[in-house]
Amino acid sequence: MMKNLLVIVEDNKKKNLLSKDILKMGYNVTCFDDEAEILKLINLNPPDAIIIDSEIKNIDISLFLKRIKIQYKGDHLLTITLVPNNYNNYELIKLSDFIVYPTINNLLLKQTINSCLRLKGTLDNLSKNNQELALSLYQLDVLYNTSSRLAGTLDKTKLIDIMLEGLEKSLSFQLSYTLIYNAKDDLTLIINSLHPLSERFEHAIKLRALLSYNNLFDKKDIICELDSYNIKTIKHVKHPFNEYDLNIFNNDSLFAPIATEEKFFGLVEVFREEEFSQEDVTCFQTIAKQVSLPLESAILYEEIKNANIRLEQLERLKSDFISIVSHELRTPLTAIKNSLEIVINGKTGQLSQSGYKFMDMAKRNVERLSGIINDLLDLSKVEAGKMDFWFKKENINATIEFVKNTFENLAREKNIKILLNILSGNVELYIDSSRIEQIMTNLISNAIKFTNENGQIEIETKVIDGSDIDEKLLYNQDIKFLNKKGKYYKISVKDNGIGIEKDDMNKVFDKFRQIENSLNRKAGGTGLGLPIAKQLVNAHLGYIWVESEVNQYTKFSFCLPILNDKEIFIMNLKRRFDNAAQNKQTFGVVSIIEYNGLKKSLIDDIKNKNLMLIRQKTNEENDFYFEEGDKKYYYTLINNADKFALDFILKKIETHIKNTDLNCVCDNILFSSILYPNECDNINDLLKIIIKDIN
Amino acid sequence: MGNETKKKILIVDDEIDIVETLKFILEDAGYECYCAFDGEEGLNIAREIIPDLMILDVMMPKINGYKISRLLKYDSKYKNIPIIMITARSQDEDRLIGEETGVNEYITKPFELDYVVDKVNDYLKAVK
Repeated sequence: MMKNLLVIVEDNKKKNLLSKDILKMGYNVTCFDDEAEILKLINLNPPDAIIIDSEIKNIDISLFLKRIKIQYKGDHLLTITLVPNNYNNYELIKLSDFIVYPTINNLLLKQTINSCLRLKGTLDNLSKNNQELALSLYQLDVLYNTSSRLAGTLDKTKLIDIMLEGLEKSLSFQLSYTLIYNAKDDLTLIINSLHPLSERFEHAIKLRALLSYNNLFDKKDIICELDSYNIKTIKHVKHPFNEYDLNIFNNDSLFAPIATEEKFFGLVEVFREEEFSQEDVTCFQTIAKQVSLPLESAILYEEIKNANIRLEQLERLKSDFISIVSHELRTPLTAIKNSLEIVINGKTGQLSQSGYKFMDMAKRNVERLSGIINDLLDLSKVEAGKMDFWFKKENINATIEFVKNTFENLAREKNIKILLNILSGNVELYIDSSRIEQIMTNLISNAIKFTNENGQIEIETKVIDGSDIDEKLLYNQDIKFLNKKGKYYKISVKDNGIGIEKDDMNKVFDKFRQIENSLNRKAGGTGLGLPIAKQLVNAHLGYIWVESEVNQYTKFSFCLPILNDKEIFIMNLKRRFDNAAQNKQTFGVVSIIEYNGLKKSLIDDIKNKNLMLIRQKTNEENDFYFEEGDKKYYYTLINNADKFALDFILKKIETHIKNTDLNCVCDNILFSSILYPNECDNINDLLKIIIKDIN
Repeated sequence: MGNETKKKILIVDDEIDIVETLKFILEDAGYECYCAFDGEEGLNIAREIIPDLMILDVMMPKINGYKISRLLKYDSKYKNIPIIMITARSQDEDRLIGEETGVNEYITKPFELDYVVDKVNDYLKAVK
């Protein structure tokens, strides 16, 4: 293509000469000397170079050049200025890209023009490359953004939205449709469009989507037969003006399936007036491919979630079932038992000897049955988190000794010795002693049951480190909760009885397994005692395990954590929080933290005066105190709390401060309250918020 | 001992068999027993005869045990009647409701008849 040169000269002689010379060199020439005309021309059809004479009178050349440089910056308009010898307007020289003296010969002018044009060509190329680079960078950025956002969610709808947003940003299309396969006969068509669509046009898109779908599978392995009527449509229109006509289908388009190798999720097609470049195609394919993987995970996740919900429901149903059945069984059982009692006690007349024997047999079995029902109820309660615990700091040794004494008679009958080898003194643990009694009763009665006459049972206690516990003996689920740095109080009950087969050892704590066990049937009992014991120990944050050698010994051990006041608080907080979450109740915490070891401590005051800040219908402890360094902590836990109750407590504390002489200490106190689920919805956040000062 | 000196006990439970055995053993122990098989009937009889003690089941048709207990305990005419509540439930929340409504004693199914007689004796001796 011939290059256009614009020559700006006033002097006619010069004009003729120049234009003739340049024409000879093979360029188009346009000559002008009126500034307005020149600018008009440049606007309409920018020349490849401008040659300007410095001796022009009616144009301020410096100003003109400056203006051109600014106005046509992107066009790379280069100027060659003709200047006389000894020319000293340095400003003009600076503004010109090239300078040629009038005594020039044609060759020099030609070379100058050539190099000027070459420079322009290079500059143009550079800026074109720059633009492409910028576009690629932008697409890359969108791609990166899109893929990182895709990785951040497992919600199907969101994934599709992110994909479409990414496509729109990187390709700026006019129309796109996405066919999403949800399930058999359940498809959604999402249309993103710049302009509104007519009904006819919408139908056309549906048909096209179906066509693409059918093409994609080539009639083989098609997932489901589609027709345009079982497709739901969602439309997003950007500008509510204009309308498309069907011609848009003749525009350039890109098409991709959304699928992994195994699964088909849908397909997407975009339309645009301008052609798509190779980069656009790559970008499009990448995004469509990138959405497939998270979609697969999203669907898996959904399935797992649903399965989990079903499992939870089943578990609850089972638990409810057991508890309802047990309650229903108790009434007829009571009637039977009472009737038997009346007859056995001779209140209905004297029984014959064999009559008494069978009545007594019936009574014994009724008692056994009620034992089974109680066990079932206990297990379902503790599993459903409905078992009530009254944790208190108590001397566990007293409980152990008490249980041992209740078995003395039974042991003597079988001539079994029970040895007590426990740490002397008062060992205070945070326990529910009635539950510990239940555990000990179970272990000792088992030991007596499975030990032959003249045997021996040894009860032993010890303080151990968490790291001393052999993980191999623990239940898998328990291991992760084991606090290796903590101290534990270990209680063991060892007998020299028949022992347990290796295969059965890990089953003893499984509920219902033991019912099948013939040995147990011989010995009587439900076999639920040990599973219950395990649950009770776990509720104390402890662990239970068994060691045994057939015909040598069986040793059941359980360990309970030795907790400081802070750990006791955290344990209670977690337990109460879990209960609230499980029963969909609210839960509140009010905290006071004192710094710098105050002389007049508000917390001490509350503690000493046992100032019940709020009255609650629980038998549990609600108030917790502990110290760490020079800080004192006080927490009160409130079931079924609301904002009003929390504010009430804070007000009450305020009033208490005012009414006593604690006023001066306010600077070093931090009050706060937090409400679940309104202000925080999981235990970790809750812990972080209220414990942050501790750590 | 003539009939008029016998202490009156009202047993309210929709389980006839439970009522029968309780009646038998309490009559054997020297008390005069009245029976009702639902809450409404129980409340009517209680107001009519003003018993010396009542044994109530929690779960009953029409009016449950707690409601009867509350209605009677808030009425000065009846508030001194000791109430023994029989329940198949042993959960503590039940006990809390019971305490609020003025139940004097709780007995959980399955119970020992002798235990019931002992409890009744305790309350009625105290009234004497």
